Amino acid sequence: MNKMIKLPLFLGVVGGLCGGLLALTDLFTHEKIHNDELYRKNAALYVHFDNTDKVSDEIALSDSLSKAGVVQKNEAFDSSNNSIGMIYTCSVNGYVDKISFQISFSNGDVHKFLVTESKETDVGAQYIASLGNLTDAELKSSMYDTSIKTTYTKDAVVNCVNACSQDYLTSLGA
Amino acid sequence: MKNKLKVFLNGLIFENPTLVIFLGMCPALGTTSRVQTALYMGLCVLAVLLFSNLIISSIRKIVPNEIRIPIYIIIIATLVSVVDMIFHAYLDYSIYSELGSFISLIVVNCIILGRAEAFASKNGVVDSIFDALGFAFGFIGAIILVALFRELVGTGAISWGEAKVQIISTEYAISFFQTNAGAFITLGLIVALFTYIMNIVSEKQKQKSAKIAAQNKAEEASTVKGGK
Repeated sequence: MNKMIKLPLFLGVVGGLCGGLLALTDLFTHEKIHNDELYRKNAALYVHFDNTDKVSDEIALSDSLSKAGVVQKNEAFDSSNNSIGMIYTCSVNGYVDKISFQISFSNGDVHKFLVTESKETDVGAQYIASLGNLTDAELKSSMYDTSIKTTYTKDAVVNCVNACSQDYLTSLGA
Repeated sequence: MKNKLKVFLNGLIFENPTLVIFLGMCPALGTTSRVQTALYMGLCVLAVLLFSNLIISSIRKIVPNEIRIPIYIIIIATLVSVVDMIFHAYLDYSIYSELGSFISLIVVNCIILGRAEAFASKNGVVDSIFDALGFAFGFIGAIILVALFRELVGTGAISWGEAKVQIISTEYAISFFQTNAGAFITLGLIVALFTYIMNIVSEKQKQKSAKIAAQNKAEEASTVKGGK
């Protein structure tokens, strides 16, 4: 056979076989690699629910959520693949600097509120710290407590949490 | 079988890729700060070298000579990608990220392409497997030796995952050996020691051969004398 045909043909066959082997390996490893990467990326979200088995990929955010400071939205599932709640990761501008926090909702109510980063002043820090310790109904009353003199910080957080809760209630069909 | 053992020992000792012919030095320096990473790097090289030798020796009679090098590179690159994907999926992520680009760099590791071109393309499958095992274990042994020294002297402990055995107090540890310069110095010391031992063995063998030759000569001379 002419070398002009034989050599490229041989290279093509070897390339094809190697491509097949790579595709086969990818078939067996892709899902595990994807799940592991997702777990590493969302490791911080697993603390919200004790029975979290899997956290979904990032769910697309609406304009209102983005404007309110939500940067990520995920759904948590248990080992039977049933939804156990929704987790929102937020970053809002406080009085001093950005405040990052996560809020999770379950069974139609706030489940957990975690402050992950804050550089607030003493008064602001106290407010943020109090939020970090509270869940459910307590959280709401604390946020609307008018005696707290950190209006700028409080407004930013409250605004974001309200946007999250509205989005969560909408997703429940309420 | 004696020939196979010779092929195996050749890679393991007499032509040790790291300590004698200085091939694959990049991972030998870059992944030897811990014994655990060095071992996994060695296993990567073992898998790629074994399968590349096996495949290349199997197809050696049908590969056109003009395109043999591109063919070898395609095969090696595929095997490296396969090993990379498997390690990424099943190996502890901290170890995988520590090995980092060194796994991908096996594609350009001279041990692999060197053995493909120098041995596997000219010899049968079984011999090529023994050659791959010899060179791979020679590489693993050398890098583990370097890693053992660097981790022990550099941190005073040997660690495996979360487990850690403190052998020397940390105040006596010389952290310099954990750096890149420390890797060069360690490798130099181990190469010097290995060469010294090999020279002694070689000298003893020469003396033994000379003694046998002298004995044979004396026996020959006495036979000739007796004959007269």
